[in-house]
Amino acid sequence: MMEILSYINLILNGLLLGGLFALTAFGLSVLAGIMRVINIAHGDFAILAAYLSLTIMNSFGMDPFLSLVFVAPIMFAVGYFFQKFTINRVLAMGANQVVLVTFALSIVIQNLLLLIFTADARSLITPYLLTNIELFGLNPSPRYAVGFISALIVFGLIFIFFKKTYLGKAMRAVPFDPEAAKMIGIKSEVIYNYAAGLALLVVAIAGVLLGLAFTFYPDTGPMYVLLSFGVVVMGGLGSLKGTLIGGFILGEALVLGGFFFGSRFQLMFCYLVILAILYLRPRGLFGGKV
Amino acid sequence: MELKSRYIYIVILLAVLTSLPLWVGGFLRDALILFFLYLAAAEVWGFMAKHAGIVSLGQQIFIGVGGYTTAVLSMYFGIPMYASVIISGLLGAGLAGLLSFPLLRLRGVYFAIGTFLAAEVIRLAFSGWEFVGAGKGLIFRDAYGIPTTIIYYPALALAVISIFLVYLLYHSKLGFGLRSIGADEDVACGLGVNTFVCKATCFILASLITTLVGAVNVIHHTYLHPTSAFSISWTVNFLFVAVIGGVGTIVGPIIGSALFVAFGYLFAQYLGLSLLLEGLIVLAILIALPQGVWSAISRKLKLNLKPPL
Amino acid sequence: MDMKMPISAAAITKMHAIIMAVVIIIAAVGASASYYLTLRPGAPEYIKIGWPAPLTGTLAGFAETTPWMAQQVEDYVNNKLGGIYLSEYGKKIPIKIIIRDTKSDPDLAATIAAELITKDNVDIMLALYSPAMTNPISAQCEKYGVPCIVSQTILLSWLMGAPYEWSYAIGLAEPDFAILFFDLFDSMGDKVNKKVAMINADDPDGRGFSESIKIVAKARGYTLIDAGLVPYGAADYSSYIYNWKSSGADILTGNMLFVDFATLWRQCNELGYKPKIVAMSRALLFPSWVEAIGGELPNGLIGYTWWSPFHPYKSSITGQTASQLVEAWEAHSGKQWTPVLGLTHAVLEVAIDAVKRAGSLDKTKIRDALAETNLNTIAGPVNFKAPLTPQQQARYRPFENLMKYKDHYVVVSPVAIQWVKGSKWPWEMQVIYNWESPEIPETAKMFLLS
Repeated sequence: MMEILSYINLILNGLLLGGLFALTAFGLSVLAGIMRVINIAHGDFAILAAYLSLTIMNSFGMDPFLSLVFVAPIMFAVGYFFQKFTINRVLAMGANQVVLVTFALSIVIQNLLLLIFTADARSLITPYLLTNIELFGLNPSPRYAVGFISALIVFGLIFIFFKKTYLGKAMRAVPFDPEAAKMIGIKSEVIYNYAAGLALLVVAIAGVLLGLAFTFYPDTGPMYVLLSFGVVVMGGLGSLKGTLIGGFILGEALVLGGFFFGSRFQLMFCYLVILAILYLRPRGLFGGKV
Repeated sequence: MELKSRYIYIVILLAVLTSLPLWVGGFLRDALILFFLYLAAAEVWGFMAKHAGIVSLGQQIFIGVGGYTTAVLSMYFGIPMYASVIISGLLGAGLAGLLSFPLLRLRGVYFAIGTFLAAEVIRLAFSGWEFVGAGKGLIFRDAYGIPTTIIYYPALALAVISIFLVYLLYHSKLGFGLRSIGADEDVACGLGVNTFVCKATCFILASLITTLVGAVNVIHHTYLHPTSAFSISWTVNFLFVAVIGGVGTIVGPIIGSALFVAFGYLFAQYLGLSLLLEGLIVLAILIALPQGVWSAISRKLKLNLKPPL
Repeated sequence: MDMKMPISAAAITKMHAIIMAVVIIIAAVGASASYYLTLRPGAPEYIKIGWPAPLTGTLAGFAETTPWMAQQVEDYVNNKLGGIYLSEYGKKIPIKIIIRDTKSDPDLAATIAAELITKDNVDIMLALYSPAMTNPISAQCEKYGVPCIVSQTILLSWLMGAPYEWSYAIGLAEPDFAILFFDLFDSMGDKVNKKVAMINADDPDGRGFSESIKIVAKARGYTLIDAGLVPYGAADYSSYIYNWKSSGADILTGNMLFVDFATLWRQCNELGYKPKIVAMSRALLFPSWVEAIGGELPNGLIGYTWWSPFHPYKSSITGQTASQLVEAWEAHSGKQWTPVLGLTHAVLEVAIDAVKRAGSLDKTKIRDALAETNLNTIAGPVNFKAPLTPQQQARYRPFENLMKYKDHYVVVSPVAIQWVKGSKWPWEMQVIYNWESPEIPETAKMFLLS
């Protein structure tokens, strides 16, 4: 009985963790899906949001969740203007330039954070999340559960946004045919600006949740980039559903990989799962025509 | 006749470069070795990315494999160092051939991420492999005795070979196939280009050069650690050299590599600010000259160079 | 076909101009550089100490005190002492500490070390902060023949590059930590059971620790419930925690990065695993790491340190005691002290002492003087010729390199510490077990977590 419960618990925690991964990868999914670009600075944006939240928490004594009221709009603006003044300028030159620009940005963010906040380790952890929940003999992690629930809410909202609003529809239309979109009066650059803003808004939420779940310091960002990319390519570029499911697969792969293959092969197992899925489906699980 | 005189200049340039270690100080020799190594790897990376549309974020695989093979063969098996370097090159090319089958099925962003993931898998494998020192890394003691005056030559040779390879590739039938793939892979396929063979050949050649760069680098630096040997920062550095100079050109990476090496030395003096400055300057250059320094110069001077230059 | 395309005359002349320009520039730079480098003045202007340090990047926390420390010592020696007397020149010569940022990248560390040697002509090199920095830097020193003082590193990882001719280390020995922790566990008697949960990072430190623990645990009759070696950044440890919980292990030990330990310890808490002793190597060195675990979770965690303000030593240069050095740093930075301060200062003491005794800037003479070092530093006595104690010999016997190359290292003995709520800072360490250094006071009694 105890055995079975601990298995269920493992799978449950994998699922919760997967939600957090999906949310983290979401911003990347939006940018890669709409512009076909690789944003190396993705993880650093998340950590930037965590530091913003930390600053607000320390100066106003505000709960990290409430701090999102400020952090999310700030990050939206960061995304909008960075896209407008930097990425859009090099986008036409090709993907290589964008990779380098975002890499440079990643270095700049990390080192600004290092200058301002020093190399000390930080955490947004709040005492109420450090409890030991017991539910029908299961122990779901409250830190991951919060991430999971937020992920479901955010994905729901974004789904509605893409389906119902003009801007959302335009964002979905541009990648399929930028020329056609232009003909019906959609300026792709402007759409990109909003898309980047939206991506970073979600990254802000993910960053705060990561800060709640894990320790961070100025160099933590790159840790999340590869996992996020794994989630995005597994699900398929431009597929919201794919990103969510990719997150769950990664969460389970991490937890079960550690259980069955031992800790040393945990991460390697995750990467191999992603590569295997890519081998079978070169455009991810739900990726359409490129 | 005009063409002939151009060759004379190339010969003079090569003569100067070959004799350089004889009359140039130790530090400059060091810097030039780095310059040639980054140049060699960035030339092929840039060609692959620009003309064949293969944007690899996993070239660190070959840097690491080249370094480890060379060190392990000459330290543990007593194989002469130059032979180890050559064997490591062949091994790297073979590995690239093997990796082509799963990875070249992928395109664009998928390929980039796929190569990145593959590099991480290989890094993790090396971190756990006791035989090559695992996470402790490997100190290549046998290379202590090799002075930079000697290491200089393989580095120079690699850079020259890499430049000629890119030049020849561009003008070959294969290069034509690759460029058509770079422009539109589906159309190329429709025109009867065997896309897989073209891309795989290009990937293998580029990886061969990159592996040799890794091999020479380990002789120069005498230390290997899985985390740094298989670090994405290698590929990002090649990308920096190629893109800052002008991706897809031959002269671009020469400028890019010179800037890269100079930045490395210059910024290390600004304690705590080195990386920040480097990042800001890259951003500034890219925003001002998105096509790279060389493209901007050649446009300004109206050089009208033929494409691969 | 493309080859036969005619090239316009204008393009050719421009081409010529550019090639000529490149040739001239390279020649000019090369010539001036070689002239500059062959020009060596008779009496040196400075004694140059090269220090490639990870000021940015993942190891930045370790090198945080480096620029401040270098400045303090440089000012003191040059202004208060008027330099270091070198008998070869019959006068005092000021020191110059040249710090360069390695960005925590081993490959750049090698590049920078070579630059300091070939361009700045440093007389002695310092290589600190983890094997990723010390190994490439001391490899370059060996290659070029420059005396090198290695510190703040794990000796077994560093000795992998032995034999060394030019490098000497003041380091930590993996086998020590395991024995230190088990001596501490033994002292608890029947209050804890003999089941030990263990988890280690998959890196040199983690491996070394894991191997030593296995030997000691077997010898002393403890049962290990080993989760194995974990890669960095795993977000989930629940499978191991369930295992530990069901086996009822009272002790949790291991060697991990602090980020990973923070995740682990929070998860232990969430899953209701409550060991009585948590003794972690590496993850509990810095106060900021401990604080970031969050809430009340850090209370009572046990780690080790090789230096603290309670250590009864003082600087051979400035005469500062350990606690005065801590005060000076806290006043300067407004930040809590870290154990890194001690060795960061001690390497400068050893470097200056070696140059002073050599009385020359000849690299071989400095190296020979370094080998003869017998100095009481702020981090304790440094004497490369001193033999191992009988206890050390017994511990190090399984490790061939530690036995073979004794002349190139000294070991800093660790003491066990426990983190408790502090008065000046949120969390402060107390020495609970001085182990083989009776001169270091025990400042508090150890308590069990439950």
